[in-house]
Amino acid sequence: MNDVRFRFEQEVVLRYSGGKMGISAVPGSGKTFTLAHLAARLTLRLLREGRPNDNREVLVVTFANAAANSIRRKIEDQLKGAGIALGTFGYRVRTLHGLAHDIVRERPSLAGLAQDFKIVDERAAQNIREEVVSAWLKANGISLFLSYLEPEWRDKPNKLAYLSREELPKLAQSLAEQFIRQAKDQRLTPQAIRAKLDKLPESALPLVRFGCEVYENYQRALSYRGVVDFDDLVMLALWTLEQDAAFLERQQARYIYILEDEAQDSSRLQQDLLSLLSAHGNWVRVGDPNQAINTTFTTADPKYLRAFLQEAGVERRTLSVSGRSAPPIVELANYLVKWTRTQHPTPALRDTFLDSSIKLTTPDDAQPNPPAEEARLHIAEVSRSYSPDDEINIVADSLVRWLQGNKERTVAALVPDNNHGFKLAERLRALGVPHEELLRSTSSTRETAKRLETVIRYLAKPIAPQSAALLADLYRDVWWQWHLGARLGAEAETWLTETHKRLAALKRIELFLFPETGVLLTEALSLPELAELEPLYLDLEAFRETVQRWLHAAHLPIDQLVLTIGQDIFKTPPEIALGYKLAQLLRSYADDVPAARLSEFAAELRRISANERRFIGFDQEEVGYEPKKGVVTVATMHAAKGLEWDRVYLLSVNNYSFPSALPEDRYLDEKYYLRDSLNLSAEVRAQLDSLITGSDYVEGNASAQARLDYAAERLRLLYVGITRAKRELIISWNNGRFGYNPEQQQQPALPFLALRDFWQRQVTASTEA
Amino acid sequence: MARSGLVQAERALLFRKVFLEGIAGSGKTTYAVQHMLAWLDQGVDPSRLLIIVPQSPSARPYQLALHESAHSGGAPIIKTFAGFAREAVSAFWTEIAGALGADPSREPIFLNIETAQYFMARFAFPRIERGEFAFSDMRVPPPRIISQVLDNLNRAALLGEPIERIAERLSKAWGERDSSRHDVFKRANALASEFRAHCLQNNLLDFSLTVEAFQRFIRPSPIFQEFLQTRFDFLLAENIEEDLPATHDLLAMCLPYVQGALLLYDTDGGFRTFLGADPETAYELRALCDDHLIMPQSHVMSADVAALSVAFNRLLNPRAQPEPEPSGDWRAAISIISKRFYPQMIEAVADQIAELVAQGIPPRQIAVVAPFLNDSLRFSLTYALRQREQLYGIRIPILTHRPSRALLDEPITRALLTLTLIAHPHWLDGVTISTPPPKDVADAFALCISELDPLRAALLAEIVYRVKRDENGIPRPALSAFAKIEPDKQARIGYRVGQRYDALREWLESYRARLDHGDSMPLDHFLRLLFGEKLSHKGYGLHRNLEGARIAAQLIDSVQHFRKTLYADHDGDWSALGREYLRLVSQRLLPSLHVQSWQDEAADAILIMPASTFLLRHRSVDYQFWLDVGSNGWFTRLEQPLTHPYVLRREYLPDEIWTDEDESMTEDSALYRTAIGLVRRCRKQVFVAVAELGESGFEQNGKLLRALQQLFSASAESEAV
Repeated sequence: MNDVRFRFEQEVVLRYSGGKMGISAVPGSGKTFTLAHLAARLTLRLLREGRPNDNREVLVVTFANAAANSIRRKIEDQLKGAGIALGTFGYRVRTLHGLAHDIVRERPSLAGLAQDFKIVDERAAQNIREEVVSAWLKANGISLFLSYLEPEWRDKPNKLAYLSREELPKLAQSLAEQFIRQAKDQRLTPQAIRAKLDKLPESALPLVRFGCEVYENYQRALSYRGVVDFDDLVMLALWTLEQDAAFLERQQARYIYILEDEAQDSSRLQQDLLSLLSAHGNWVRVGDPNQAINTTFTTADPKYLRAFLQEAGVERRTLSVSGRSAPPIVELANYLVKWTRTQHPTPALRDTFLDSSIKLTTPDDAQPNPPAEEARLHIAEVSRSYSPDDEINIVADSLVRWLQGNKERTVAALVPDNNHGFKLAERLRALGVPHEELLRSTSSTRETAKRLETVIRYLAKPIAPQSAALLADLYRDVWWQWHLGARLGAEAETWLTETHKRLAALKRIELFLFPETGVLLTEALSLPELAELEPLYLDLEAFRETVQRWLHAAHLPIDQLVLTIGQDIFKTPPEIALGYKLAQLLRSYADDVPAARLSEFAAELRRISANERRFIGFDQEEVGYEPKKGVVTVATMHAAKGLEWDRVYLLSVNNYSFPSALPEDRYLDEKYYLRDSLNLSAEVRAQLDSLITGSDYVEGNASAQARLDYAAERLRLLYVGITRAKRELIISWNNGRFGYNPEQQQQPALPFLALRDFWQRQVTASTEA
Repeated sequence: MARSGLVQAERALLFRKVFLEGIAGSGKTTYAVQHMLAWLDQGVDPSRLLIIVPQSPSARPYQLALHESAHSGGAPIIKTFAGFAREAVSAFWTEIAGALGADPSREPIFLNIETAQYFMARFAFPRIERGEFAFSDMRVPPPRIISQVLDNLNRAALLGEPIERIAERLSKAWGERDSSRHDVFKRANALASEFRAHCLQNNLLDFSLTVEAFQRFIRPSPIFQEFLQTRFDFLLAENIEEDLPATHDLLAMCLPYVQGALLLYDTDGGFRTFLGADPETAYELRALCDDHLIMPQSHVMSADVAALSVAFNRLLNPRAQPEPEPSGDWRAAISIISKRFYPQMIEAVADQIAELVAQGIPPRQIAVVAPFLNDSLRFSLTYALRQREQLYGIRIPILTHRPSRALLDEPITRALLTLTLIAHPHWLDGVTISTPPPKDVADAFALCISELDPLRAALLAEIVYRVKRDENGIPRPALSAFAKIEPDKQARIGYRVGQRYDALREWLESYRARLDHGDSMPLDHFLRLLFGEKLSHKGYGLHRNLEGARIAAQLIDSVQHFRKTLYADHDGDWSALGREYLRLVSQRLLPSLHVQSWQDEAADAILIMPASTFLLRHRSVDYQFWLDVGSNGWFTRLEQPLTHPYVLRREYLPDEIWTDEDESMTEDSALYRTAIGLVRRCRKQVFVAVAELGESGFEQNGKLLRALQQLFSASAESEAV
């Protein structure tokens, strides 16, 4: 700890000893780093006080598990130094859902749950919703939507038939999801909504009527299965605490300090839960309202952090110095904030950012900004319009060239949405460029699922004609690189290739796996017997024993089998946690489909590993991502949060991905077949709000507000994208999916133009200088 | 030949009523066995001696002693309360059935848990499907609703209260919390009443109705009282702290009329409180006895282990009294196995066990306990031990035991049911009962045929197992002969294994031929035959497989009881029974009742079981391994939203709200009881195994680990001083 040098602002934060503190931090100012050190200091303080039967803890709440893991590691290091021999005491690092789970798990019956209640993941919840919505549509037809359709789509039978078949079921699904999430965020039960609805005329708030019915049936389906979804978990935790004063007191006494990271992403439920737990007043919230980028698809809102920072009695601190980016990049980011606040053509968007600018480090800083002369900034031309594919090709070619001379540096291509990322990744694959994806789910999540899938796939068919090839892959892809291969690396490439080939060529797989007495490993695989290969034989022998063990375990219930296999193939804490969650997911799949056997489980894992669906455990991301030198990271700008690269490409900065709430802008949620540019997701939320608060509902107002909210979030997303770059930043745009049609062509985003002007003025000024 | 070894002073107590209290391992049961033998030595008619035990396995020391003794004039009456009540209800049925609301002209049918669940399910499912139990703050899956409602019925009977009062008690304990829970309690009650009405209408007696009949109508009846006063002269009750208050009532009734009695009470026992046991009402029986003897000394623990028990007492006992400084050193009695990861912990435990066995420690002197014993842990540990057997050339026999486990989760059960389906292809309907997938057949082969590895089993199943559609399009399973396999594949599988397979197949074929000739037999008979004529023989999977044989026996018992209850008067074609049973198993409505057997106790094997199960066995060992000490499972109870083991106890004040503080106190005392109970059953050494990260990858910091941390920190500090 003594080796670490803190900046003055960080030192001030670390002097915290109690009370409420709000910290506003700019990108790259080391907020998570500071928070982790603060947590470690407080934990040590608790341990040193050492009261008998002490169960007080420092609770650190983070947004994603990746951050949770890094904080946990830092605290563990400190504790080891203090000689804590057994277990981990005095602290707990959790995401919101992890914390809620701990609370509910402690007294499940208070929440009306059985001891072994299960949590359904996103896909299972979606399946249930789909069943419920389909049943609703079957019973009620599409009449609900008719009044919202453009006359052109409503009045032409063939067009209406198309919508009924293709689009409206999807719309109904999405509305159901929005409604249920919103209701749960406001802690409204279906019964409470129904009670209010029953007092209104039949025709009022039709979207809420639909939502309520679906919500009722969805909850009934969850209840029948004895499960909860992720949103329930937080709601139930809060409810449990409010119901039982003694239980709440005990939790409050336990979590004596509460430190909250990424507080700009706090939702109302998180805010309520933490303020309930922190009745003692020791609550530290760290965040950057300018990086709030989860507001439109979750119920997170930076207003909670902003309000906290204004609260009386809150000690306000800033972490305004950042050594991450080179000065020109810092200036560009600061300009985006300034331009938005003063010149954005939509006045309602001018308070998108807080008035805070990133300050450069002083020369004696331990982590100074990269020198300005090493910086490179490029913002694409406006006059030349590229299609999305062209843009991808140009960026991919540029990456190939750059990597040749920069194998020791990190680089990322950041895209606004997953699909764009998939295409870029595909292009990089075609060009043979090493890359990693951080798209729908993280590469590591997929990789972990993939490893498990490879094992299960083999166990499902251990002796079929294709099994030798599966076994060979199992050795290469699962075993080798996590055992001897991890140490030997390329050195033993020949051995690996040769062994893989021989395993794949096995005609009688049992002779290798379960040989008759006296048959040597080398014989079974026709390998030469060489003394220098002894360690490799031993490793292969261990592989064989492990596969034998798995085969013997294959009759266990699937969750238990996964846990058993996981003992051999998952080594790090996040991997073990993920393996555990995969086990639970497969168990709940098995409960739903009792006839499922190993092949079906392998297929289910494949859907996760192939990125066909997102797997959510308790958290968005299980494993922290570390950019690798010489490997391109392809990520969404959302997924890039908290990370940094030497060189960053920001793609697709056009007025579709980054609209400015101007009349010509188009929005994903405003469906082409709906009249008056209505955003029904926003409307259903507004109708629910009107029902609960008793305010008037005016159709269209919510859609208009949604445009502003979306535009504001996209501005902050652009800010996040820019501040990922350490030395080099390239920003480009494309003319959109329908670019071939001049009427539907997208234009460079407004902030793109503003940044480009600024950059050119800077270039001109520096040339003149 | 066993004879009583009581000394003169002890003999003087034979005709007195003695309340004997002592800690685990103090020799109470040994003394009680001697006491029983002494009674018999004195010429007491064994049939006039009643021995009451909280659960059947507790009778074992008495049965063993009787078996080895010279007494041949009959056996004492050994009963659990449930068994006693059932017999009394049978005997007095015609007198009480009318008052109970049943039909005295027909025999009562006693249900076990499985069959009670079966009937309850009939009424529960329609209600659940109507959404009666669907509330936003209530999520319990149907099997749990069923078991918890049954639990409420049982508790109502034990409390001697009408079932309507249960909802009231639960509601009051829930208090003013804003919730739909009060409605849920009422609905659970309505379901219980519906079930009860059906039982009465059909003379079906589940545990609750049996107890109610006994408590309300038999116990107060003068005829029964007279019977009890004259029927027994001597009374012995084992572990009364683990028994129900209703048992204590019965004992209280007997005590004034017997010539001699011995009641055994384990200080710090009460491991079955969550099942309704009540150490406090047990302790009140002291007042009805002539003498109160205390055995404070452990004959089990070494001085060092005794010091460990003192240390735990100080740390964990909420009502700890100062104890004299022990002569031993607790540090010598405890070893820590601390690893970062869970699998490392399992491997280290396996290494340590192998080392002990290699040193000559008899396996039966080793017990491995954990708060929960899931399949993965059981498999990993047993597999690791098997590997060490090969590595060191030693035998490490093991015996695992887990209560309340779905029968279907046992691989042996699945294997037996797979063979059942192959033997009864006409039971398949393609909807609720389908053909087993090849994977299940391969698993069944691997488990049932000795020396067949999973790989060759899969190959064998792939070749010999076929599913053909019959004339109605329903798939039917069939097995072909080994001889029909291509020669090279025969060689791959192995001829010896092939012969065994063929013998099994031929057995199944001949059984099918009997069926075709109209020779129908109940499923339990089929399973018994399969086990007795094939699988228990040399060359098959259940030969000398204690655990497998026990599971097979449980399955057979379960089917048999099901048949006797639901098909009591049935004759002729038994396929409906088989189909119905399989359907219920596939719905997981038939959990198993694990009955402990004699062989378990006699076997020289390492015990691997949940801590709570081990404690109820009253068995002491030299070495204990405590796994997963960071887990919360060491002190938390199984939470059940529809019922409550503490609120529905006799001494619980009906208007009290059950608070978080109550829950915490219960946890603390459970942890203390468990830890101290384990230590007192250990002679030499406790190995405590910790994985920093639990099975789920999260750090472990439960109360037991905290206590150990405190123990070691305090020790380090005192050394530093």
